[in-house]
Amino acid sequence: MRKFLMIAGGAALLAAAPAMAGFKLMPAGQPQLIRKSALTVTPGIAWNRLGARLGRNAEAWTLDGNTLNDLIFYTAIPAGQTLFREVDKKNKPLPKFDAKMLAPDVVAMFESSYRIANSTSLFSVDSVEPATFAGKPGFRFTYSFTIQNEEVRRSGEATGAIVNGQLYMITFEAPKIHYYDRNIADYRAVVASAKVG
Amino acid sequence: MLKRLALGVAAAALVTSPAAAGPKDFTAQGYALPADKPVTIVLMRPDMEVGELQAGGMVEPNADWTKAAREHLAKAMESAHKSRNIELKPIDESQEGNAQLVADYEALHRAVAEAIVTYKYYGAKLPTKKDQFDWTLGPGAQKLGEASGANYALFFYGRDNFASASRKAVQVAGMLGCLIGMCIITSGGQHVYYASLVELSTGNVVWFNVLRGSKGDVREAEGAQGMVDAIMASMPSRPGEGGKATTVAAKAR
Repeated sequence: MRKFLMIAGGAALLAAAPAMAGFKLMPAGQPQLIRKSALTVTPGIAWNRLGARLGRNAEAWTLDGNTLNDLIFYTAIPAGQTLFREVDKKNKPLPKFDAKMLAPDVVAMFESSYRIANSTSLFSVDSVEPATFAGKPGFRFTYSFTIQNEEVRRSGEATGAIVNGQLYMITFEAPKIHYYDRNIADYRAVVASAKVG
Repeated sequence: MLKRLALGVAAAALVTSPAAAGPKDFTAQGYALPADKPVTIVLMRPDMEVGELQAGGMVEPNADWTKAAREHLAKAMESAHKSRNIELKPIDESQEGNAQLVADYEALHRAVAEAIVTYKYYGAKLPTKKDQFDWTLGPGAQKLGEASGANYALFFYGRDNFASASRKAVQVAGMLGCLIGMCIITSGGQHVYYASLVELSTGNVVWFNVLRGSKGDVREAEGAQGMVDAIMASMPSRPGEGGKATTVAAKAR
């Protein structure tokens, strides 16, 4: 990030311009279909949906900005697909989802994807437990990480399930100081409202 | 991930946008400093880096320039506060826990400032924050107040990149190209600064200012003072004072 910030000039701007798509209001109490998939959630408070695509089956919402609160939906990820868009496919390909994965395998895939995408070794899974997601048996795990060249320590929680061979998962991450605790209940309310199918 | 890329682009755009040179500040809605107590500030370490902008657009950091700029800016900050009769309260980082506390809040502030710069200045507005300025570090920031005795903290960030000889040559070549109808306009140096005033009892960012362009060479005492005076011109600093618009224009370089 810091390195990227140092890169200036028209070429960089032109190359990444599509990523600067705007935000759309996700009003409280209104059901939202995620990426035209089978996943629907109803937020308890208003969020902002990022227009830029994180990947074919991922979508991000935020309250104060992505550096401060990041609610990410991974929806209907089929076997053979990565969680989000490849960052360096040739040298560091992201792991791919497999429909036969068990909860620990999904957690390992998530951890590996984050270590690659954020170029960080500072990532730890803090807990893994069974959970219900959209009425289906699934999993919940918590994690901590620091992105390379950013000193801010972040916490995260993920809840999901494999439904009809496809991965559905919602994650929330925010700085440990203030932001995580302030909105973790709003994230859990979104998760509790999730419906698949 | 892509989102980080997007934020990086926003910051890069801010650095390179020549059209919007000059300061632009925000004050939390209706905020005024309390009238019944003196304003005391803990000055956080200036997050300052100086480098040389190469022909291709990459920045080569320069440790000597950075060191000189940090020293001049620290002195300029002290002088600016003295002239406003604001008492500066240091944090003793040798005391147990204080160094980590400072590091944690400097890192959090960077994330908050990045969000402010991206969503208030660059244009990708957040619908839930339309016409609002309500960013915060959270009430835990009070710990900085307890460690220092101050009721506000001032954070300062600067990236000053001077054009290298090769960069200037590319600029000249691009402009000469205009004579034969092939213009490639290359920007020269990049100068971006921001400062934010945080109320430690709430953690709220009560004033934030961005300065693009240059008010002088920060590697020298006079230039650093010019930069600090320009960015702090609109900062509320007396008891009872609220935010005020600034009309200081930066010199485009």
